[in-house]
Amino acid sequence: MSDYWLEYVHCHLPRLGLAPEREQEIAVELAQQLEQVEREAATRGANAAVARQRAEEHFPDWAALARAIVAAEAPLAARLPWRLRLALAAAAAGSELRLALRGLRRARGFAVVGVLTLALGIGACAAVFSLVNAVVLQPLPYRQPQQLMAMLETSRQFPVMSVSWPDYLDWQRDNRSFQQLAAFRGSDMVLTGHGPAAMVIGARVTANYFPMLGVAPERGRTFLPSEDRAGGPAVVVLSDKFWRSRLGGDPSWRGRTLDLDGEARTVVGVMPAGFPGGAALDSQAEFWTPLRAFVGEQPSLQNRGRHAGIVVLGRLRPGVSASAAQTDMARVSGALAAAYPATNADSRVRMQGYLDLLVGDSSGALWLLLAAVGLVLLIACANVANLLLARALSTQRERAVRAALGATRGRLWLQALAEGVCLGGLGGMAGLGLAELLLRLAPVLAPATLPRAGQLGLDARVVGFTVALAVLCSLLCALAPALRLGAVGIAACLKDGGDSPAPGGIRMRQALVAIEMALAVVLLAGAGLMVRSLARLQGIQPGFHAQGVLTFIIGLPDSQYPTRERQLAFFRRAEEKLHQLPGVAAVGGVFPLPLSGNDWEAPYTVVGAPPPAPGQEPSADIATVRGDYFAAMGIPLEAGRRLGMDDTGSAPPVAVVDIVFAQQAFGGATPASVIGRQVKLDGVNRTVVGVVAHVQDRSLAGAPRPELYLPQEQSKLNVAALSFVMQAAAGNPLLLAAPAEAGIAAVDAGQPVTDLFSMEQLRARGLSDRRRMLGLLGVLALLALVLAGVGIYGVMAFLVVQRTREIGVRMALGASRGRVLGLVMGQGLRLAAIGAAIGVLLATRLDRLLGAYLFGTAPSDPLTLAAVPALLLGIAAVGCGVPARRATRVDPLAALRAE
Amino acid sequence: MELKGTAEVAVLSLLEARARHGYELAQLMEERSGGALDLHAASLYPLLYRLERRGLVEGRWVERVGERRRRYYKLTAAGRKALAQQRQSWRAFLAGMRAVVLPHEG
Repeated sequence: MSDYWLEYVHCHLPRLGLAPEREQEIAVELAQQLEQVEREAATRGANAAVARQRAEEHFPDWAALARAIVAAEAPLAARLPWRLRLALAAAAAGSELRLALRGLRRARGFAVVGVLTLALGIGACAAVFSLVNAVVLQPLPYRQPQQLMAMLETSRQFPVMSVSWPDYLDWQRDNRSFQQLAAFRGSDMVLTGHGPAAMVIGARVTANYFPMLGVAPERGRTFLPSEDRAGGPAVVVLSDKFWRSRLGGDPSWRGRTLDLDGEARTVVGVMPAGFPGGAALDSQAEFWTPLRAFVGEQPSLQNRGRHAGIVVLGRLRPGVSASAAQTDMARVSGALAAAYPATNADSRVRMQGYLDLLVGDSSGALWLLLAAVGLVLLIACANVANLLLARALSTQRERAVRAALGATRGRLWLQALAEGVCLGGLGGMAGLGLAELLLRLAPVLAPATLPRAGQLGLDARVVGFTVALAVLCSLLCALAPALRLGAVGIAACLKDGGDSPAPGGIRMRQALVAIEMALAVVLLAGAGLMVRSLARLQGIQPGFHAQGVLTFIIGLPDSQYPTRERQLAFFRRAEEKLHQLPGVAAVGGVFPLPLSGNDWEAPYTVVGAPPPAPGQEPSADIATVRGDYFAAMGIPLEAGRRLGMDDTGSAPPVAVVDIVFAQQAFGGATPASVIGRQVKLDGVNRTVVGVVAHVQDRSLAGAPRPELYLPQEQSKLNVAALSFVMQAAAGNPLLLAAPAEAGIAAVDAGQPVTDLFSMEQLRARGLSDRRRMLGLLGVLALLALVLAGVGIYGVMAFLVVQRTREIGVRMALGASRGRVLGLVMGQGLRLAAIGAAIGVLLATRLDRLLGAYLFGTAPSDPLTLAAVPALLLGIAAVGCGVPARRATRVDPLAALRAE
Repeated sequence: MELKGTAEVAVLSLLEARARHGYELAQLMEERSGGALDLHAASLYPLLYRLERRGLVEGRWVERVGERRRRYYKLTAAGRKALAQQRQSWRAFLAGMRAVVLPHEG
């Protein structure tokens, strides 16, 4: 029997840090006490279970008992060993947590609301953070990725340019900061001989590209320096995906040849699965070929002024910082500017971390989302803090009794924190589950253009973040009730029945509601500004008629179509074929297509005008067109004529300009007066024969840029790529897709058709990122709104209960129901108005955060800033209305009698 | 006038006649005071340990026929002295209180 109690004491009494014999002695004595209590209860008629329970409850607080014994045994408590103190504190915290959990189990409704509120906030935060983690924080999957830098060029006129080949060679020779500099250029090629001809994404790289990244091939080898030279052998390295899906994982891949762009290339190696990493420049690439061989075949690339798609990647030498490398490269490009003023006078190196280059654009949006979701979490915390405050007031008396019985201040603090910690812990766990669920939905929710979002998941970093978040929330929630401890006198509490709150408690709750309102206004205003921007953007006329237009790209491989003549011949025949298809109203071609993400810009001069200052040469967007392009796209003619069949290579050089160009180049002249003037482009004087309306070619939102159209037949530049546009006579243009592909195949069966869309799809794609961002922000703002509404409802309901007696007295003295309603509503709405005012002030500071997402809408947009607080006040009115109506139904007699 | 805690002087008084174990002390305290003094075990044992440390009481394990080994506490000489002093103080205190609080009952 005594063994049971001795065991029981050993289980419950924390270690005392005394001599073992003494501890044993004390344990035996306490066990005997319990045994005696049990026996006594039994002799008084309690059954065995009840008697045992009574004894088990005999010492309600083992931690306190241990403390008292230790104090008695070693009167100088300050000499307690820290380990013992820690153990005691842990034991005390443990027993407070157990108490708090038991309390929450009793107040189930309160617990469920609190945990769910926090779970929503924490879960959403964890999900967004895992996006940030996957996209921004995860290092690239290469050896020592922080050493990898990406380099482009920049000039006053073109902020971002690709690198010219001769510049790359000189950088490589002259820099002192990099172990290696590799050059990279995307290249898509037509694969034939494996099913129907297909366009496959690939890249051309210098031989040191793979060693520089620190990635070895899975099979075979990468390029030898002897292969990466002009006139080198035709070789190719494949991705794991290419090898598996197109070669069926053929083990005898070595030495096989592939027909790429009509050239037989020998396979020398296969890269491992997972290479290249998710967001890399060549993340979609399925094969790599040597870049130097290509440069050898393309004399134009050896022109220092030609910036044709090359990106330079470098690995810093050990111990060289990015900023030191920046200085070094500035020196190198400065020397080149001095040596080659004609091409390099104004151009400089533009260097950034490789990861930065890849995710820089997305990271802003993600941090913005994280900030928004953080606001929601803050609101959730404020709500839970409010709940806890209400609860703390109702358990005030209990705490006062504990204090009177000698509970220390620390102990009371612990008690106040314990419930917050329980809610935070449970909320955190539920939140993690919610985050997992949200991540499963992420492919639907996340913008399609987000790099690396495929690697989402709850890794250690996300879980750690969530745990930290839960701890922070626990503290935030528990802080308000814990602070209240100091404000409440024990005596006051015991005296007045313990359920009338000190006024400070109400003030704190009101402050919390005002804060919630302010945060909700900020979020709503952000979402509202984005709605306004989107509406403005959708209202923008891109300048062409998107309805009923089908478009696709033809890219002719150099090997099959090595000369301009053969390329143009192909397009002539293709245009003719497409024109003969039934249901086609007009056919034209253009490069680059508006809103396609491609752009082409060149400097020009006006013939007969004084020459501009160096570095001040104007530039315009250039497009080559053929056929009935303007008619097919519904671009109105303002003056002169369109380009036509007669504008061939042998005819006098002509151009059509848009009205923005007409104004920029010829200074406010009317469209008609521009006809016949000449501009010089690429050394050729061209006569302007027509002026057309402006088209937003790069993006809907951008500032209008001047544009100049050339007949494809007269273009001196590469004419191997063209987007066909076909205007359907009626109905869905996508119905023309299959006949169009058949038409192209009839001209050349080996020529694939890519990027087949309706113009309306392309236009919507340009807005889809904004739309998704707005959707996410909208959901968060809605959540904030609901939470804030619940918050104000809770406080007002509580206030009404507190003031029942006062309201009863007022009504007994003749106050009308309307007056009582006004009293309660007024108090609630005043609170909401204060919060809303603060929120509006904060919202006007949103421009820095939201800048990239706003269009034609200032953060101080009056409509938004008026509508949002009004909406919130409406919600607050509903939140106050229910308790206010309850107040009017107070029976004065009952209210007064209750006292 | 120095006045020690009520629990301390009560425990010393109860040990004056003979040695007792902890459970017995708690029972006696409740019986003699008619329930007015309820010294809970959670306070009693630490108090006993403190008194023992100060040398006022002495605990000893005793085995009686038919019972298990128990720890009995008895007054030491120093304990008797302390009890006498505290009694003196309490007597004076109670007389003073009586004169002030209950002037018509004396």
